Amino acid sequence: MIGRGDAPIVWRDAAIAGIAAFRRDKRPASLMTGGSLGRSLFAVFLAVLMLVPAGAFSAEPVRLTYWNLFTTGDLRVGMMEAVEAFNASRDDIQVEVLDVPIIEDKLPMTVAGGAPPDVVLFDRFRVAQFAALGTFMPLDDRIQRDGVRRDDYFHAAWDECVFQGKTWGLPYNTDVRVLFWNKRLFREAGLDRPPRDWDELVEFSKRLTVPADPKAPLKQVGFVPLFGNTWLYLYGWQKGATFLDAQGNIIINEPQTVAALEWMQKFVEWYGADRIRRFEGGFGANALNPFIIEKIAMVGDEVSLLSAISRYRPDLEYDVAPLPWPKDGVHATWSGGMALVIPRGARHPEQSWEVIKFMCGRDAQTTFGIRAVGLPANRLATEHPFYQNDPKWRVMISEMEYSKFRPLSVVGGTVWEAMVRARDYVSFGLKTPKQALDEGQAQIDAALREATASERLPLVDWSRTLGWLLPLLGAAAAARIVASVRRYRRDNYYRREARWAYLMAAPVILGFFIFSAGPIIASALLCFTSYDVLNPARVAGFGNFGRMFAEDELLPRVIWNTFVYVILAVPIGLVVALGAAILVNQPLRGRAFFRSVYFLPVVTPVIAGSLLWMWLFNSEYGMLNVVLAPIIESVPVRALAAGLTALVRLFAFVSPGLAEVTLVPRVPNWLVDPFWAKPAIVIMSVWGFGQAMVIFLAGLQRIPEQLYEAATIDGAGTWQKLRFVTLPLLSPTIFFNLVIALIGALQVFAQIFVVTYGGPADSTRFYVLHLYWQAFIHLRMGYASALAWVLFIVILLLTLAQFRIAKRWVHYE
Amino acid sequence: MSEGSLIHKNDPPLVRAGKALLIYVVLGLGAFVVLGPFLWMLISSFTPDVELMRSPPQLPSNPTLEQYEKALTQIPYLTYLCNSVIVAVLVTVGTVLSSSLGAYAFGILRWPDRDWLFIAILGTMMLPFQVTMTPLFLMFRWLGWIDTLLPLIVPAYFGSAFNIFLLRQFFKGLPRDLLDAARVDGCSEWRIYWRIVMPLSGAAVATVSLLSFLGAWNDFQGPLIYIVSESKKTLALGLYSFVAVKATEWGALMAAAVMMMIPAIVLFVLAEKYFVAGIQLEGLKE
Repeated sequence: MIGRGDAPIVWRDAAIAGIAAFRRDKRPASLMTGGSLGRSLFAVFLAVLMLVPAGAFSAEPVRLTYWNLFTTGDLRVGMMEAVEAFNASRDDIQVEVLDVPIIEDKLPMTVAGGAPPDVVLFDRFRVAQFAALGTFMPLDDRIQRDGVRRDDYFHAAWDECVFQGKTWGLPYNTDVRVLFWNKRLFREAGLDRPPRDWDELVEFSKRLTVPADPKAPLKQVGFVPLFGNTWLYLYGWQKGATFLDAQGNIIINEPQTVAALEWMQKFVEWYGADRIRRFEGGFGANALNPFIIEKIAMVGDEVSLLSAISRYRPDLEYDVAPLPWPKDGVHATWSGGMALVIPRGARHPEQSWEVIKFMCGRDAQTTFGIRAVGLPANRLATEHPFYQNDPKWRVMISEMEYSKFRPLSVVGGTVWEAMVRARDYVSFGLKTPKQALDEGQAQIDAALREATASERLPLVDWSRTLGWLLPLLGAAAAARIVASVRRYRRDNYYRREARWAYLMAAPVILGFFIFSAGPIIASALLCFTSYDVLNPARVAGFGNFGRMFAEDELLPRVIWNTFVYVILAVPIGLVVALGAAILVNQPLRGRAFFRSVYFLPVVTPVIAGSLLWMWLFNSEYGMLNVVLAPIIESVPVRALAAGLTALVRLFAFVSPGLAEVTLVPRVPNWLVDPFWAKPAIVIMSVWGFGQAMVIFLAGLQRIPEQLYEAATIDGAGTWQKLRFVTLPLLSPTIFFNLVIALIGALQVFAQIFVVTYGGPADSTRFYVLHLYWQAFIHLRMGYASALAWVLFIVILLLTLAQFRIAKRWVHYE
Repeated sequence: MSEGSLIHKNDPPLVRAGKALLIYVVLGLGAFVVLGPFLWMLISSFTPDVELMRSPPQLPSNPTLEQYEKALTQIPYLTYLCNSVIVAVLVTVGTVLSSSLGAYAFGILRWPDRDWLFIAILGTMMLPFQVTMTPLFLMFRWLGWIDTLLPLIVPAYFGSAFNIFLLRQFFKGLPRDLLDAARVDGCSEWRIYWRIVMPLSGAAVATVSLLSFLGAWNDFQGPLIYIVSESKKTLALGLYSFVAVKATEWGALMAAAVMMMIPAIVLFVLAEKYFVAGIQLEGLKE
């Protein structure tokens, strides 16, 4: 509902995108700037208009900034210690660390905006993609000049920073995957060593799973390839997949990868997908990591689990071993980690390089590694006794020799997304491994085609575009003014009223042009461009609109999701709100209390509310299912299910499969089940019915008492009064709420962004989230603008249609 | 007792009591459904980590403040609070002033550009946020307002479509004769607006104030776009950063959420008196 910040979120980045368009092509910028005087005048103008002293909120001076992705825990502590050591050692450079938990979507925007940070700790697997866009400065000259050697680093870590023949960063840390196994649980199951190959892994896993009954809820599992931090890449490599074809293009549907996914699928089927997801819902982080609380006997995970154990459960009886690989496969593991990079356009590259060199040097890396209980990327730092005297660390370090990293690609983000999607679709039983991977490959190929095709498009000539646009707008405005003045002359009384009206509406009218109309025109232009923020916009014509029908394979699903959500959330929300409004409007003691209570969710910040519901929906520890279980497992519901089962089986002649159907009432596995995730979001939204209720209430209280009295005299009963007096007189309010609710529902974003981020298996990927994704994950600003405009037009048409229909049923006094 | 209520004064006493009971039961169930989540959040925020992770969930046997301690040591709560208050108060003042003036012009006065402008402004309500955000960011950057609170505050002084619409609906419902009479007596439009329309629209103005205050308080995409420094962050953005890094520490997250809600609820309870009073006043008028 409105007012809860439903409007789409992180558009800051889209914003910055715009700057870049104007910055890059100086012409339009100069049209607007006209020197700092014009700007100050405009600022003063706005400030005076709003009667707030602008000086009270002025910006701070800029310093040498270091964007840090490690916002919590030991990694941060270790890194901060290294930064402090650097600051202490230098008088000329001082580093100021800024925690930026999600860097990928912010960095290109600041680079494009011309004010990037000086050093950034960036996820290595995205370095290639962002380097290809021109986000970073190449470091090769400085590396050579200062004699920084690749051999001093783990090669897998170093090579992940090299793309298209250039080195874009120095690796900072790494996180190789190994098998963690719980010695105590193994002993209890009569096992004394970790498995060596996949067959043993499966066998051990079954022996370590409690309870043995495949119907009972899981208490402990042996191994599930969905858990930990292994994903499909790892198993693919172990099966011998390379993820590259002969031309060096990314390929995710090799037979080996399909086989690996089939193997993962078998695991899921053996445990039961629903059972596994329910079990997974109870997982926590850090002290509550499932391996640490001994719910999982074996897990493929990386260095951070080791540091978590040493911090939260040092007495845990466990060991690490190389991850088992198939008998017909290869010894392979996977590492990733961070790199330090310098964004293009950073103002002090030489000093930034000094910082990076220090941070990735042997001493700082040793400090960091030991303090953070992490694995530094600098191999020399791991010669320290801290690592060499610990057999677990020695396993990790030796595994780095077998380590691979995600293949580098200009569409790396799409590749990763396709891999994750394939895994999810398969694990929910929505697609076969082959289908899922083939579809993923098609998405990757389409993204690659698009990337190369857009390079051939002509650049946008802004001066020409604005050259016809501005006169056109000027002419329209002039025509309108002439028409107004002509009408205005006619009537003296009217003139007085109109003069007041323009005066009183002036802020609103100005605001409309400054904050809406102008920006709308600018964004309309963006629709017809191909624009990735970092490079000049190119003319795409109607390509972005064509893309919606042809290349964007997810869009139909996204539209369906949004449709289902709107159809459920809007009517339910309105009916509940109206019912509540009528009830709290009764002359009863304590109605003010109920009114306040019902309004409470509206007051709740979206973030707080989202968190709250995530916790309630939790399939393992969530309170909601505890409350629902007695209802769902009650006799009437069971009888209903049995009746429905019988009914469905009657239709066995349509499809023989129906004879097997048994409907069992069970508590939903809310946020982790693709079927239940949408209803969960609907419940969250209906919970905010107080907003609409208050508006209904205001409407109810405006209904004149005489009408009810007249109705009473005419002999109308309670129900008739509701039907023939209340509802018709409330119709303008109902209409108002309907319009608002529909608009809000179509634009729902914040909750999904926080709660599900579109998952599971894309089931809550709603329109605006998809749009966000296109804009900030795939940097398709033009396409995202086109999507935004389509949404706008749909909303506009729906609203106009409602206004039209409303004429028939809305009763204005 | 109103003639329009479900409980009628002519009902026999037993029927009246029955109806009242039924209504209370429904209201009570509703209150349970609405409040239950809050209650559970509150309980969880006092539960130590180990007890939190029990299936099925139970009440904590050792209530603790550790979750609050964890949340507070990682959030500069007072800084965020101060920023949120500044933004929310200034936004509320601006929205009420500009939107009510606009609503008066659009709802009561007649002038040449009224209708198309009103429809255009109404249209912006349907405009997805992302359509205009790019150019807006550009403009605020050009003004040098990035990483200040200004982009969050200034637009409020130029009206907001939703509030204009809401107020206009109310203004249109006011007795036209009263305004015409004032006009005949030589009242200026400003005086009519300030002395007649605004006082008569207490409930609507209160609603708009409350909604715009809450909107500003809870807004987090705005701060996310424009604010970078810790010292300028509002509570919503602060908590979001907390979510991003503490994704599964449920106890601490619940504690942080509770702390973020407290000021909103306190303000709501304070404003609610005025809010409810405003609605009742309007009820009396008719």
